[in-house]
Amino acid sequence: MLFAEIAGTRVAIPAAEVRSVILADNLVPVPHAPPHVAGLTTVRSQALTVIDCRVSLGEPAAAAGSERWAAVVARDSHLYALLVDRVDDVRAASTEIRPVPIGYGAAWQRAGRGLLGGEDDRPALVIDAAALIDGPAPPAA
Amino acid sequence: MDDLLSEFIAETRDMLRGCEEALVSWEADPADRTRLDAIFRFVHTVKGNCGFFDLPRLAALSHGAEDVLGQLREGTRSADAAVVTAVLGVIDRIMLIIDALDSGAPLPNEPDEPLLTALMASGPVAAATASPTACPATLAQPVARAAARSIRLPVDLLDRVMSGVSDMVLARNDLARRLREGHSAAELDAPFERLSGILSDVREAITRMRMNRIDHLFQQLPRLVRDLAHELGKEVRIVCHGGEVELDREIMDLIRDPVTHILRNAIDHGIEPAGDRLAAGKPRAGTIVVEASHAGNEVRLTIADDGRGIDRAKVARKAVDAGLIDADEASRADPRRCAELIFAAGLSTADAVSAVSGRGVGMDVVRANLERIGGAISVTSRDGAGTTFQLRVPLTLCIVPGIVVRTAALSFAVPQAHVVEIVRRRSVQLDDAVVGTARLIAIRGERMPYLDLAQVMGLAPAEEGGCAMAAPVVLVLQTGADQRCAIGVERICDYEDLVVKPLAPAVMQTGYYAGLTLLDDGQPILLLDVRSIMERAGVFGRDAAPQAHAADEGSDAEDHGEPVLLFTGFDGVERAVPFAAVERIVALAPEAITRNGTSAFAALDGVPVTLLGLDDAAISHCAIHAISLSDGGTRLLLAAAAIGERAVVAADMLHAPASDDEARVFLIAERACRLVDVHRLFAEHAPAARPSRAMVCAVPDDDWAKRMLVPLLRAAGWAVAPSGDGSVDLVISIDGRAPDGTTTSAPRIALSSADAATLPPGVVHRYDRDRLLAALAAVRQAAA
Repeated sequence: MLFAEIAGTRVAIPAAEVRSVILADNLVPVPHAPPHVAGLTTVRSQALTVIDCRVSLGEPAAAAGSERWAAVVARDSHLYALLVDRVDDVRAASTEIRPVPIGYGAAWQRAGRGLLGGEDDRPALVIDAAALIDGPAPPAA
Repeated sequence: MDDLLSEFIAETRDMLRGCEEALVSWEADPADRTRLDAIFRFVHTVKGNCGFFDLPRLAALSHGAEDVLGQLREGTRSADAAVVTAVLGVIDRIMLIIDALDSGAPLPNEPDEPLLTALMASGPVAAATASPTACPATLAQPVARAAARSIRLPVDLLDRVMSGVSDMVLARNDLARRLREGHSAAELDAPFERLSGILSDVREAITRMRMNRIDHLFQQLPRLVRDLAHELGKEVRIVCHGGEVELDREIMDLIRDPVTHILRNAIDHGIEPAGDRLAAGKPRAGTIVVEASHAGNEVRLTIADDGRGIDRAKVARKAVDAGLIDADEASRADPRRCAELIFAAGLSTADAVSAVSGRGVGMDVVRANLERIGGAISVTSRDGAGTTFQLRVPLTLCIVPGIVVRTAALSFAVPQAHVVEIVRRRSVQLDDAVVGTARLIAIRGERMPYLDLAQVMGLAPAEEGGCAMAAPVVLVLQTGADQRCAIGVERICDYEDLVVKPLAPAVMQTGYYAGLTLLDDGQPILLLDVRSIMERAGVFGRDAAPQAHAADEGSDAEDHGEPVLLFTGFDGVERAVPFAAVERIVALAPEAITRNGTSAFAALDGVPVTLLGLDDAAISHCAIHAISLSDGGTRLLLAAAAIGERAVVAADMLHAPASDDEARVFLIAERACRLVDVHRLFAEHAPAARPSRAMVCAVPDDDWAKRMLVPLLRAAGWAVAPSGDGSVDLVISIDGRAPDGTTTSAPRIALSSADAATLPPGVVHRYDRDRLLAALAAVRQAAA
């Protein structure tokens, strides 16, 4: 599991899905793109579509201009960089994934897959990378 | 085993396709033994392979076909339409089974026996029962082909890539060593150049791997035409030219449906029944000519029939009925616009929906499909004489030449294929106008919709009143066969070969972009989908009326004369050049221009092009404008001190024979203006086209020949062989010495180093270049 933080919430992304963690900079904006698409960037000549996870989760976008960490995931042969506020650690999950006992916001619920108890007893929300890529609104049919 | 099976499937497909073409052409001429032999060999090989794979049904079918073909070969049975139909029926069934094998679907379970009995029974009755069972099965079931695709490649191509990659590794190692040892930048240049060279070789080889001869597409056409013609009771012949043209496999798949559709239309609507044709004084059978040719970075495919042409009145009526244009407009529309209407959505000219056309896609879909891959389609039609479609498709999808533009601090790429012209506001007078919320721009008299890229992209606020059109560079884009529009950008950054990569679906859905590409500094930039942007901006729909007016004005003018482009040369004389010959206007940096005696060359798109009209005064200029003229193949550049406007001169003026060297003079707006004789320019300055086959010349093995003669021969377009055996076209002897092993009876030229005055007639002094070249030309002419 890759543990990270998005808008104050501790999240976990299955490490098997994550190709690498990069420092996203030099974003090229994409006019007319959906709001959760923050832009494009490249890593080793590979183009990445940068997703602002805060926007995907219905939170306000972070201030522009700062360099931010991003987890690189692949989906349908396209590479995406998921912007997070902070990357904590990569380690094995110590507990089972349990259902979330409370309602926690529509956009979060679409991406959330369950709760994981951290070793330091801070729970982490397991999130689905695909849901983040699809953005806050369900993809047009 | 699976590998072997997929290889077998691919091979069988190829062979069967070849077989079909041979069958149809052989049906037209049953006496053609070589065709029959070829078909027999095909079927025989398939039979052998089937047996190897333990595929009893295929083996039985191919065995049956082989038997019949064998009888035909021995002459115990004569070839008639029934036999051909029966054999084609069997081939269709084999194809079905092959497709099923490929996709892993269960085998089609219709019994094969009726086909086989039809094959064996002689006489048309039995065959007639065979075709209905065979044909519907194939037409109705285009089996969804499995995703696994395999290609067959010439081994030498693979070897070239392999050796290229090994060379690249060596060059990389060399570069790494020099970098490690801290060499200066200059010393790094050589290995870097080498690396770039190898890379472009490898790239070319890889591109070739994706290429396929367009023959693959052509092979299927005779069969298609034959089936359709039979179905509709017409007689149609198809002739294909240019099968050696190569095209990206992907694109070949994408244009297959459009081509099929155009052929269907041609046979159904275009070609008249035999009776009507005879009455119109045409040959009984209609002819469809399909021709492919290379034109720069694209392939042109022309499909021409000699049928009745497009019924324009009917098209216009249908268009009015469908609400595409109003009746008033229909009555005013010129013939070309009328013909183009067939590409409009929701238009079908078929009165009754026949089994052939009226099913599946319309011409609007054909056009949309072509444009999606960066191609274009246009149509011309002559009443009673036929219809010609011209398809233009890019050579390959992966690498496209593009122009990188910059606006509002962002870069975008535009495919160069779309760009007709780049106009700088400083050098050409542009006439802007605002119509409601839309903008129009007139460039040399041609009016077109205009968009500011920064505004379209939401990067700049829309201006109040829309007065300031500040974008300093305007790109004129061809967005349809008859449709142009202009887009304003801040500046042009670069021309580059762009490697297009797919975009994530979320970005693709915006409809503004066609793909993504990386610049040399690794920065990602977006490739604009120009047509889609224009449609989104609504310029075409909303401005249909003003556009039609503009088109009307243009066509009126063109009826009375020919458009010319005015410019002022460096000698201060105003001249005009026919618009049709103008390719584009370019700005040339001084370092791009090379002088060689009286002639000058300029680098244009990486190739040297002859530059005319430049005098010494022009050297001091920082950058000059030049008009690039093209005769379709060769290009010439005309230097211009200033580019003027577009004008129209009387057509008879243009075509009047020139009386002397000086170009003709005419009056334009009370000014005398000289018309450039483009024909003469190209005749004088265009390099002679290389002969299609290099002629081979044998020369004696001596130092003078090597140092003096061989370069001269090569420059004249000859290849040089060391010995005079039967394969050479010419033998040159020097001082009586002939090349080794001269056995040929080819013509000879004798050269001598003796004093020119003492030479016998027919012997050329070895430094008499003019006589030698004349002799060479005479030999070439005699051989041609």
